[in-house]
Amino acid sequence: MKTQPISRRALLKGATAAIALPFLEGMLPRSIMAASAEMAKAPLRMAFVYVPNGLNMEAFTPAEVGKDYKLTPLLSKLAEHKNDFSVLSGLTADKARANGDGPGDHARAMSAFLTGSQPKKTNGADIRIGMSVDQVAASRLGHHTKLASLEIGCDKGANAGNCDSGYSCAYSNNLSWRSEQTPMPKETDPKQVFERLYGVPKNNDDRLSVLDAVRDDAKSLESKLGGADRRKLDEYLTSIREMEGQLNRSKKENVQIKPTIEKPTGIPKEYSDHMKTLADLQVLAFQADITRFSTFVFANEGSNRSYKFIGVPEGHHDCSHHGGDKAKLEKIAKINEFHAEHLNYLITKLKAVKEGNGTMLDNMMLLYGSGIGDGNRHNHDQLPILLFGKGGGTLNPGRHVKYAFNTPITNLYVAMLQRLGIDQKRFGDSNGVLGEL
Amino acid sequence: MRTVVVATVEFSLAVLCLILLGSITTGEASTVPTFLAPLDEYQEQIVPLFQKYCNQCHSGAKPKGDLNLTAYQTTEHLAKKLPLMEALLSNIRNGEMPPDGKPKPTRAEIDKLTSWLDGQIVKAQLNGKRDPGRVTMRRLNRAEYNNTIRDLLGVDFKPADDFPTDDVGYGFDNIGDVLTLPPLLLEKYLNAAQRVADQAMLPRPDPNAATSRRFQGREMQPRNVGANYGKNNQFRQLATNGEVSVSFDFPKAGRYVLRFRAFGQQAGSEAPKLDLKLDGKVLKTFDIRPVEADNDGRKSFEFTTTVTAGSHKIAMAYTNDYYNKNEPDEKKRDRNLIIMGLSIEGPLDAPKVEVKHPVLRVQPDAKLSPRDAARQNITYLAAHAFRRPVQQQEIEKFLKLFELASKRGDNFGEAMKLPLQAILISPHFLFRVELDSTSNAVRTLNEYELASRLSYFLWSSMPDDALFEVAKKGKLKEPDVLAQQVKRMLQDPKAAALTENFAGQWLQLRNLKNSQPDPKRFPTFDEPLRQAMQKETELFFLEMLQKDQKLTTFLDADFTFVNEKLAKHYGIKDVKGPEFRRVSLKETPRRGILTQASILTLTSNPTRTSPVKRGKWVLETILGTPPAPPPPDVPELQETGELKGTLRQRMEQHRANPNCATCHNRMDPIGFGFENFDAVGAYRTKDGAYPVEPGGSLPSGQSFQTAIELVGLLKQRDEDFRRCLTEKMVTFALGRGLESSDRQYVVEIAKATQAQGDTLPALIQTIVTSEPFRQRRTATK
Repeated sequence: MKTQPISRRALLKGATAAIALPFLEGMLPRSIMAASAEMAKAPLRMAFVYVPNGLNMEAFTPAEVGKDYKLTPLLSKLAEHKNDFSVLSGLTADKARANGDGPGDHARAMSAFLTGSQPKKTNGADIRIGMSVDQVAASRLGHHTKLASLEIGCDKGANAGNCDSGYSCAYSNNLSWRSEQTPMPKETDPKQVFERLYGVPKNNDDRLSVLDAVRDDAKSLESKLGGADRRKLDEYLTSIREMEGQLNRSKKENVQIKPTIEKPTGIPKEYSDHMKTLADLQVLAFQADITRFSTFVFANEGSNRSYKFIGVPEGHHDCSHHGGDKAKLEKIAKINEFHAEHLNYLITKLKAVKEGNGTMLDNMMLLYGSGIGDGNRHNHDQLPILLFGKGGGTLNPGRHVKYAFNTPITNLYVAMLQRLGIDQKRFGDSNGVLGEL
Repeated sequence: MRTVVVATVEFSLAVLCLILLGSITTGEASTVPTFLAPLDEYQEQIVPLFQKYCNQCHSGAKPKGDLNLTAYQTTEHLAKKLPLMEALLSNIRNGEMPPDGKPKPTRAEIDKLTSWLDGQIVKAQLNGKRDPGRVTMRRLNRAEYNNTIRDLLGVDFKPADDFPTDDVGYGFDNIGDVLTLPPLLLEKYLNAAQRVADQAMLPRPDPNAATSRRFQGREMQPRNVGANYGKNNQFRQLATNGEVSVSFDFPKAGRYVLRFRAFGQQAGSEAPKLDLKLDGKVLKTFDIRPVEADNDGRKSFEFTTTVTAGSHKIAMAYTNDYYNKNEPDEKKRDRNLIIMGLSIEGPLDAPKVEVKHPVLRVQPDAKLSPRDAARQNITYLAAHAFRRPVQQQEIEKFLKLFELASKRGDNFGEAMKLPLQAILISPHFLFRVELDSTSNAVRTLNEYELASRLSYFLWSSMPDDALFEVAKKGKLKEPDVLAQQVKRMLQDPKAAALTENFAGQWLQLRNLKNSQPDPKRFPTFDEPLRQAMQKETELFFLEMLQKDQKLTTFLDADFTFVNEKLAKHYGIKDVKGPEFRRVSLKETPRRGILTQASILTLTSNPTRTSPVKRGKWVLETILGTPPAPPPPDVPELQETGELKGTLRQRMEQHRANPNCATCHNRMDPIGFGFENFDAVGAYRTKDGAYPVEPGGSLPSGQSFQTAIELVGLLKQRDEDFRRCLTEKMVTFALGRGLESSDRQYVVEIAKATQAQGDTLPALIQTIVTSEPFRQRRTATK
């Protein structure tokens, strides 16, 4: 992939800049590259890609474990990257289970997937879950980049009605949670994503002044509010603070990497193009070090999207309740393959970016998966999980690893956070640190 | 956890048994000496119904489900058992009890039982206390943000379309608790504020400028025969009697000049005659003389007339066609009329209106310093943006921003942008703040808060000047004034927001745009048809909102609104053109919203109808008795053709499972009742190879043969429908989920609505005068 050279001045500005800047091949003269190899070590990024309604697990899970497993029909879509990912079998999102809360598996699958917390069953009055793993990383390390994190996806939230059995739509629409009560909504329009990545407001200082004024406004209001109103205002103040941080950072760094794609004009008509355009932007965001943490939702949980363009006109969710029917299972596999092909597109692009002696993917941990195993059973154990990348040399991909039944997926998140240098012993319902990675 | 009454808790028999097992003994009840109590409503009216329909099973030493209804001899006995009463209410209301095969109570008897139980439950829950509830501070949602910006600054470019979707709770996207403000949204607010400020400062069109519009021949709509394009499409030739017309939206009332150019081809004794018509009425008849020699001399004709504001149709008709093939002079055989363009100009001598720029109301001059001018402008802006009067100290920080910009050299207008941006980011603008300003447990909202509640309910926007004015005078609290304002607001075009936002979510109409009917199976479905479906339901709701139709007309209206596209889809003849018009459904198999293509499509799967989804939709949306969600490991149905039997037969196999039967017995018959309508709502008599059998019977024992008969049965449950619609609308009006303490208000509002004409406007009027709408519990409680 072609990248525009970054000015040396920007890089040599000092240590702060060096940390924040991406490590781009061709950006530096050789001599400097050698000299600053240590200083300009490529940042480690963490990304999550979500698919809904479980998978056709028979077409997904390899029979053998270890390095020499045979690619299954689904995984064969990713054959060219076999050495860049591991299949992690047996992981469980226990908090997506009912645990006494009755139906609502889709809402729980999505919201518990990255939080490892039981979503409080409510239609809205008292939404409560936990911070998601990407936001743990963003809140600790996000200050290094312009955007602390990036949330993208192909589906907007629900428009009306009930989303899932007494759960507010906030649960089934949002994968990433900033706090117990605040979800991080995703951007679905590539044009908007592009503008967030590359738009540098001309009047940063004006915006900071404006924020200053309203923060005082909010503070004076704070003492007059009680109960949930107070909580809403806190949320507002938190966002003001984060925005100030973001504005200060983009002022300071002024990182300018010319985007290698045209500015998109809106949401592409075809689903496939939509996913690819968002994937392109995801790659750019990492490459230009605009962010290091992202979530990408291919489709919302419980999605009933029709895949008529691959010969599956029925809704995805309807199909996923296959009842063991062969024809339906085949259709599910087709949908799964379609998603896998787009994952393949994303991975190929990430690998095309050279970084140091390897590729950008080497400095990544990218997790692909669903919070449901088999869509027919709505089970939240035996989840389909793939982990891509070398994690900056801390991961050893290319294997199929089988973990003990009911191993919390949050053990994997603890392991990932630790690799980012976040010394956290527990996360959500974890009961250890996942090994054999 | 708060108890929610919107979704009436359903007790299957099994659950009912569990509750009763642990908690009820016959001994407890019989210790109370009943002979002391005078006979009350319970003993006089309810107990006999129990005896008639229930006690055959629910009495004696071993009553069914361990429920012995004879143990409850007085109201007080029963009133202690809240879960029992709720279970009774739910089972009777759903028609699950008495079970199939037993004598069923009449509709009137069911209503008696359910309304008595409803009342008792309210009493038992509240112990006589009333609690108007507490709405969590509401952030403007996307629709509200767009509308508020439009009404505040007169710029209409929908900045919120770039915002992330607002999450939905309790079926609506305006719920204070659910509307969050993550950093991404604040970033969007900053971007929007800047764009809005830039836009707001652009020069505006002069509101006093006269309108001038020219129509060329090709822009005119021909009617009847004879009208065709002339050369270059510049003019219309009318070779036989017919007319051409234009529709024009007159911005203001007043006198307008209508000017046209035309010429004729003379034949016979008369010149071609042209009738100039306004909305079908002839204004003047012109003789259009042929123009000799010089075509450029085509004559211009004009007529001045007075019109009201709004859309009017102006037509030019040719009325005296003549043709004589025996006429020796070839040039005199055929009389024709040729019309060149039409122009409209006006209004003439309209009184000048003074419209102030919403941001730059005053400009600095010799007497007014820039700072004082800015102060005045900011005060006005902030008061409108915050929807209440502002204190001088509140605007100091905004004034400082103005000074900051002035100091670096921005001119006056430019320097106003910064304070404007800050106002648009302020929590007082983004949130609808209702302070806890008293130490009382409950307080009545002040006039401005009430005005905002009203305008965001009916318009999804800020109050207008008229409403502010009433609030300022302190008159909005007066019932007559409030009622008058509601009436006015419902007739305002801004009330379209209620259709878009309330009906769009109540009926789940917004989901129509996500429907993806399989083009192979439903080739007639396309984007224009989808839009026509949507429009039909919107216009229907608007009719309910603005005309005094009974609420049950939602269910059984024998009229609807169609354009040519939709009429074709419905098989209704003689509807031409893209405009919607009201048509009768009397000769069709359709009645009310349940047979509108929009609803039928959004409750279908891409490849087939889903009687279950349709039945569920009716239970949730119309009757307010949603079924419990299904257990997880239930397979969906196979596609047609692969398995034996019709969809109905296959569904019946499904229902053989008693776990499924409880709910599916309620959903499926309703859904199957609409099987004559396919997955895009077109009428059919066959599903694949099988004839459609829409007949069925409801858990109440009532049976039906057609969708129209089913609609008739649903209409009998008007009490349930009224309560359901009340719950949904109160939720939307308040922006919060309903709690158990709201139950009494729902009952009261539904009753008052029925008493006041039983219309949608009556429902709205009773909601806005209700305690939860006008009061607020303070945080201390």
